[in-house]
Amino acid sequence: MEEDFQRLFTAYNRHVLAYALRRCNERADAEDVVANTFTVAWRRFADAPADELRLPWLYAIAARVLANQRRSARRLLALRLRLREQPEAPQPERGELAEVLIALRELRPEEQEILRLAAWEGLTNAELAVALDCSENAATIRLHRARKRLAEQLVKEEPATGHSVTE
Amino acid sequence: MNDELARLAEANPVRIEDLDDSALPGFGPRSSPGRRLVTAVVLASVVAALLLGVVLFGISPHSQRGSTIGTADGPTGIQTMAQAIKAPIGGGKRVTLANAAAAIDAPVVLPNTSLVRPADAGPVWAWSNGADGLVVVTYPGKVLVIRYQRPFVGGDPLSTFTSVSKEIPSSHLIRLGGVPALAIPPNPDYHQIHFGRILFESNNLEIEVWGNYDEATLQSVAQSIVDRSGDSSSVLDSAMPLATVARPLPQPTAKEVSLDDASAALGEAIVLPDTSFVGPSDLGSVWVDGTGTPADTAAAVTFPSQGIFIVYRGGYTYSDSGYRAIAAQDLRSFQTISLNGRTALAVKQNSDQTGHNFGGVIFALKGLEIRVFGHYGEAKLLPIAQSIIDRSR
Repeated sequence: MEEDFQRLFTAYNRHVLAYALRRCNERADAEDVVANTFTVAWRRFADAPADELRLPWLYAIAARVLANQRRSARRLLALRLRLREQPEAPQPERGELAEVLIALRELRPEEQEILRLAAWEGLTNAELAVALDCSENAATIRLHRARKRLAEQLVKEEPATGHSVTE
Repeated sequence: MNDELARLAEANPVRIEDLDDSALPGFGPRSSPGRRLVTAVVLASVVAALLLGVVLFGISPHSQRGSTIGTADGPTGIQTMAQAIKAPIGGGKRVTLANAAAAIDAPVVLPNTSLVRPADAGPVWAWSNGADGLVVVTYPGKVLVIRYQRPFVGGDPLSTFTSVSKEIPSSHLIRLGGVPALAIPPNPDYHQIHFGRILFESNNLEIEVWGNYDEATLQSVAQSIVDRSGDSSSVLDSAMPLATVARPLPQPTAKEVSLDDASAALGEAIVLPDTSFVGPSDLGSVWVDGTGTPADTAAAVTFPSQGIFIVYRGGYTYSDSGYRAIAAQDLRSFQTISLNGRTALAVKQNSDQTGHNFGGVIFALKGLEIRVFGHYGEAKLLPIAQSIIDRSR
């Protein structure tokens, strides 16, 4: 099992770090997320899904780790300054990209997260289901709903630009 | 990829290919302090977990199954529903049903079937950013959740559900009476847990019924909501489900207590009316129901000789729009009135077609929502409400 776990770590530590960096302000916090995620993954390795679903499974664990970090941050003022209450990505410099991030922040946290997982982590609906611990149908409907809401939010924020927002 | 997702993908702040290899954690030789640190933490944790498991419990990591909600280990499939019932809206808060109506700017119409009755409703959660709102009503004892989201996104419901059904091959369009809906049969998550869903539109809300039931059962719940959405009694029942003077809090968990105990549970002194018609000396029974916190507590007092009961609900945040939304939903049954300089709700007598015959006045006062009900019209009940306001000063 140790070899399997090492393969898992080697294959995906970069992905989990990227996931964490997208949601943390500080690199040190992101590295903590990676470390804690793989620690939990080791403890629960026997419950790991099939190989092709292990990355979203790690994302699900990382999401919990992040949530726990934020709870700790609320209790510790010093950490509170380093961690954000809600996962927020750094703002890009270009205006158009900033717009989509601003629109994203207007959505509910769950909607933001499923959109990030789909757009940034590139998960399929089946993988989203594992990452969000729900059925594929549930993931599909949630993504559909969140996508619609993001599209509507984008329209609200750029009524004069004529930017195409379609299904 | 859809346009909005493509735009979001383009805004990805951290691309994997841009990560500096030398900074990556990993097993094996390390070249940077960051990598050494992360790897050391992972390895140390893994070894510690192994040792603790073996030394303290004599088990291997393989035997550590099951998890707890809220831990990093994550929920199992069954716990997904438990979690949905416990805290279904991230960023949302637990509210009263009246406050929930304000979040979605519409009454929360509850189903009434052999499976779920209004009184079965458990904790209610809401989130709103002003323009959009979401309410989730949970039925912990029934493993059922109903979510109401405003606005309905996507325009025409039929075309929207048709579009979604193409993404979910097992789903299919159904009709709830004349209302198009999408039925998504139970399908397993990777834990092999099955939950089905019914989605439909009503009053510019997207309503979703989901639970551990077959399609026919979920459809009957959804149909009940559709039926009751156009039924004035449903709105009243949502506000006062099956209440009577003898049993002003119909929930089976409600219990009779002293007035002091009810005040303590509510976190506010219960102020009784004192008018020429009804006063403290007429007080009959006092009831309380809740989970222990004032925000989740309702208390009620009865005046049997006068045929009046008054319900005090804790944790209420006054919302002008909430009462206006209820009144707008059913002008035959409700009317907004001004009481103490604020919008209040008058419930017209005989508005309920299910056997209730109450008129009522509903208003907010000091973090409470107070409902004065009785077999009378507004003219008789309004002075009672005003007396409570006056005596609370």
